[in-house]
Amino acid sequence: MATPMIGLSLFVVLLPLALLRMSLLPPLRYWNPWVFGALTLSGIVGLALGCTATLSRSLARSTQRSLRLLQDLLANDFYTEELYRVTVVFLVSQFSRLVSWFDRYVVDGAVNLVGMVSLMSGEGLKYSISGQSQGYIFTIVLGVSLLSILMTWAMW
Amino acid sequence: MLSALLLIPLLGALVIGCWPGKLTSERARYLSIVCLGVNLIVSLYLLSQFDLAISGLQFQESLPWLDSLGLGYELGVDGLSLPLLLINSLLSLVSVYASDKNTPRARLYYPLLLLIAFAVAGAFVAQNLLLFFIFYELELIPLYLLIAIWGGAQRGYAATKFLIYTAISGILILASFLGLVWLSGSSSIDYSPTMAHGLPWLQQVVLLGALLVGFGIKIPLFPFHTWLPDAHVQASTPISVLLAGVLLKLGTYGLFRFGVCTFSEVWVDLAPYLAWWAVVSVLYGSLAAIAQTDMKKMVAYSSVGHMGYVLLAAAASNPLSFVGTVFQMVSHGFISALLFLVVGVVYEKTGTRDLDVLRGLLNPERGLPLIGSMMVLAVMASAGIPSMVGFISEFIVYRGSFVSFAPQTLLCLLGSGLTAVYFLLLVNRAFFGRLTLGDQQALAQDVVLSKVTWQDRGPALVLVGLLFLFGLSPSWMTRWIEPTTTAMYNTMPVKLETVRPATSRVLSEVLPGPGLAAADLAICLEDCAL
Repeated sequence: MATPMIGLSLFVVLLPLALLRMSLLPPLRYWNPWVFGALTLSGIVGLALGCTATLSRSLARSTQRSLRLLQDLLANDFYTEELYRVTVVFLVSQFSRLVSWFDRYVVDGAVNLVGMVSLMSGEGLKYSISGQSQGYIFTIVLGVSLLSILMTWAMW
Repeated sequence: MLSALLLIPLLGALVIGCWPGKLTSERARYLSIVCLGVNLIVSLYLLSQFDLAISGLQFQESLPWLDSLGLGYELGVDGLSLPLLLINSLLSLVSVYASDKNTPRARLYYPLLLLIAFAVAGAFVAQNLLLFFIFYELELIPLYLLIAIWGGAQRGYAATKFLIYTAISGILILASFLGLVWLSGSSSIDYSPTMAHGLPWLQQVVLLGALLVGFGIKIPLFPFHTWLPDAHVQASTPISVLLAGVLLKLGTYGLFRFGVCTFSEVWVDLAPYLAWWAVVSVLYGSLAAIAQTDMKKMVAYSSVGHMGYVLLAAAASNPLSFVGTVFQMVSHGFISALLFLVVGVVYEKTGTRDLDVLRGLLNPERGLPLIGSMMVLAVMASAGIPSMVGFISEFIVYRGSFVSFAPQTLLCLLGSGLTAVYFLLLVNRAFFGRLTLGDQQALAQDVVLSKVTWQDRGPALVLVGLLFLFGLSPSWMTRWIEPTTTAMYNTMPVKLETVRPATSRVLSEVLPGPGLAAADLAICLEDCAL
């Protein structure tokens, strides 16, 4: 843990120097002394405040409701994570569940249904055999007449 | 030359099948590796002899066979089929190498694998419609047997489903081919891009529709995809590698060669709808993948999503998107093969692929650190992280299709985002955290996994190398593809821009002339390099 952190700190400290060496920094006349001063000052003030402020666990959360809400809001990064969880993550997971259900029971279900119906009708056909010749003849006559109707359809 | 690529695996299959005396599984595997190694060397030699200046067919071979049927032995290779031919040689070798040394009934197993290599190579080089169809169907039988004999618990169901689906796909394709030949009044069945020119619009739509459904089953596109997750889950690792890496490409290859190029007039009319179909397929596959708990099923659904990009790019019909079509096929071949290899090792070592069970496999002492790292890499490549091949292919696809179909492209981009979601879920669940397998009772005891050998890692490492190689230097791949795809675009009698006036303005701004794909690609590749 220490190695990357120290490496990063060094990088941050040395970056302006590197930019200067590669003459990537703008000339001095573009510098706004007021902004530069205010930025540096705010940094120093923040550092000083952070170092001197005493932290008390019992006082860390304010008893005033409005202040506490503000504290929590800041402490939780404006609740971005929660917001993200109830919107994007929730939507995606619900959609994925829906699609998965649809895939399993509708798309695949239809395919399996076709397969089952053809197997069942094949099985069912097996039991329609009576063994009497009139049954066979009837089937043949029916088939042949259907075929001939189909073939002479245009002449009627 | 091309016949050698077909004959080597075929002879290998015959030799192993008819080997006199006792043939151990290990020796059969060794023989197959030698055979496919020679095959790969021949393919690489072919690559070195390939003339980049010619956009048409090269190494053509022609032999009359059954003239009365119009069936001729016509072979040829161009920039569209060459990369796929190489992937086939490589991944067949990988799948044989990754096969278990103690595979039962090796005398049947290895010849079947070699037969697949033979049939797929044949389909990629066939220049006669009937010959293509024969090779396309020939590949079904060995694959059916490989799933039905060496598959998982429900192999019968999965194999039968695969067979029925793909046989229907074959019937539709044959019907479309025969219809095309008869309606156009052509005397031979040799393939030519101008075959359908002059046919009435409706006839072309019907023929193209049959082709779309036929190849859509093979690709697979929603709603014809349900055979794929089942087949993948039941197939063993080497078969999954072949299926995802090579066999799905037969569908996109066929669609591109016989659909886009032959029916270009109708294709351009249907293109907006096809782009929406691609969107549905991409989002559907990605969302379904999120809900899966079986690693293999998740990767299978990701295939459904990622093959949708190929349709999107093909629908966009501009020179850049055509390059993207082929590049995406190649990149998906590498990435999905790597994913299935790694999942296969995890399954072999832990005995499960259930994401509710696996935890912390990245553990450096007792887990699978190198395999886990390769999984993370494959996942990153699939999600399109720069410097890997997935980024380049998706970038070219999006950049090509955005000028034609902006809303569809943006929605497909969402699919890329969802890829990151489901693969991060996979990596997070299975590889991070504390190493456990199954119930909490087992926590008291340390999980000890059997050792991963270099045989397990070797093929995956090669694929990782290729992911980076073509990710960092994509021009090595695009220079083979681009002359052919640009020529294909130029021969299209109707361009998308003339049909859609609203987009023609955008297109003409981005691509002032049809021959500018090279310049555009250069810009695109510079963007990638940055």
